[in-house]
Amino acid sequence: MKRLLFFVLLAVFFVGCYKYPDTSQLSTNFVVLTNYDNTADFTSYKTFVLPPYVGLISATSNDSTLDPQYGDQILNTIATNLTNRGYTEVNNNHSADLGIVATAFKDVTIISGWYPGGWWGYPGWGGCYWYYCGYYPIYPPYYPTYVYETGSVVVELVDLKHIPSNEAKLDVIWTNWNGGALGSNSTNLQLALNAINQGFTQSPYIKAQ
Amino acid sequence: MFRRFIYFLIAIPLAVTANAQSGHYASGFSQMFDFAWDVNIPINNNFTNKVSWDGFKLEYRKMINHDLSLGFEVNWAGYKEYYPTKTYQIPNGAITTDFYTYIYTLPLALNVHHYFEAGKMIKPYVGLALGAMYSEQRIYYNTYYSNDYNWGFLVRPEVGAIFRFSENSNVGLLVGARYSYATNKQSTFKINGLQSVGFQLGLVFMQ
Repeated sequence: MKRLLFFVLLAVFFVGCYKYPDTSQLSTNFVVLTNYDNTADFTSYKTFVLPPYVGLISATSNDSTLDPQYGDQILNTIATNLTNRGYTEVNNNHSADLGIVATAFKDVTIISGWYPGGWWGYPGWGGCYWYYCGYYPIYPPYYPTYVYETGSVVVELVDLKHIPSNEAKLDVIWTNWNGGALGSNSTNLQLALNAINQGFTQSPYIKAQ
Repeated sequence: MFRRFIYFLIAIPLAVTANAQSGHYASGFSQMFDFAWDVNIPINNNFTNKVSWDGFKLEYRKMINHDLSLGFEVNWAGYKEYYPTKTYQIPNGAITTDFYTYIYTLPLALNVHHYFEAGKMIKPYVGLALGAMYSEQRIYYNTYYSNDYNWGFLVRPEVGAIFRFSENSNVGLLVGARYSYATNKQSTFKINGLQSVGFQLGLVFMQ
């Protein structure tokens, strides 16, 4: 009995020894992760087209689009970065080389990988990707598994130039995942804009020439 | 911390219960229990290079002949380091963030010690411990963390001495130093073996 008590006390002691960081000391900036398709030649694309809105996936909102007062600034930031890299914005998605998908995630935790069909489990998924209903995105097989949770904004570049005629799929050639703790809406927006800018900064291969 | 200390005050008398004769051992005891503060300096570790100041060691030794003891020990160390915001290249991409890295180590080892005659008050020794080491590695970034754990084989030579508070005292001071090498590996965090130099200062309870 004494020995048992001794080991119980030891176990309690060790469990109490874990140290945890003071996360308030960590930067509030979003974590910025980018991945690209290493078979894609980014200089072969010359034009891009923006979506009309930023998608919203949230467990606490029925809206499927982000409020335009925030979403438009996200789209403008993406457009500015692409324009600065030599791409030209067009309004017709059928003539654009690149399509942009921008999605905000709030109050949800979804784990998704590169595998085809990963998007099908998203709440609010309507069966359409980009303007192509019935299509699904294809990610390079070496992409990591993403965790989309509270405070994530994801930007993707989709290859519209090489859509296979016999398969309902679109190749995603660049993914920019930005995530972190949320604050007020204005704070979140600025964090998202900063993160998108950083996503382009750390992706110098995105250039038209 | 105070609560942990109380636990140990309770636990120590339970651990040392034998009543063997100690006079004819070079160590001056037939068995002992010690609890020591354990400061560890990591060596050649790319994950965390900061000193662990709040580790500790628990140990039991029993003499098996005149100058040799066998024992068991467990100790704990936690290392942490902060890395400011930076962009890191990863295969087919990059990541920008600041983060904390943590390593927790929990070695469990059997040990053997040889004692030298140096008077009644001072008992120098050399020792070797072999065992297994559990280690957990974590990275904290923003609101997220990634972690992994692994086991490795442990080798740990050491030197030290026990200082009795008086000739008739069954309590003394332990001062020790040792080198540890464990084979723990973690490819993502680029950990290929964990090494450290540790220094111990603690109380010894002898019979």
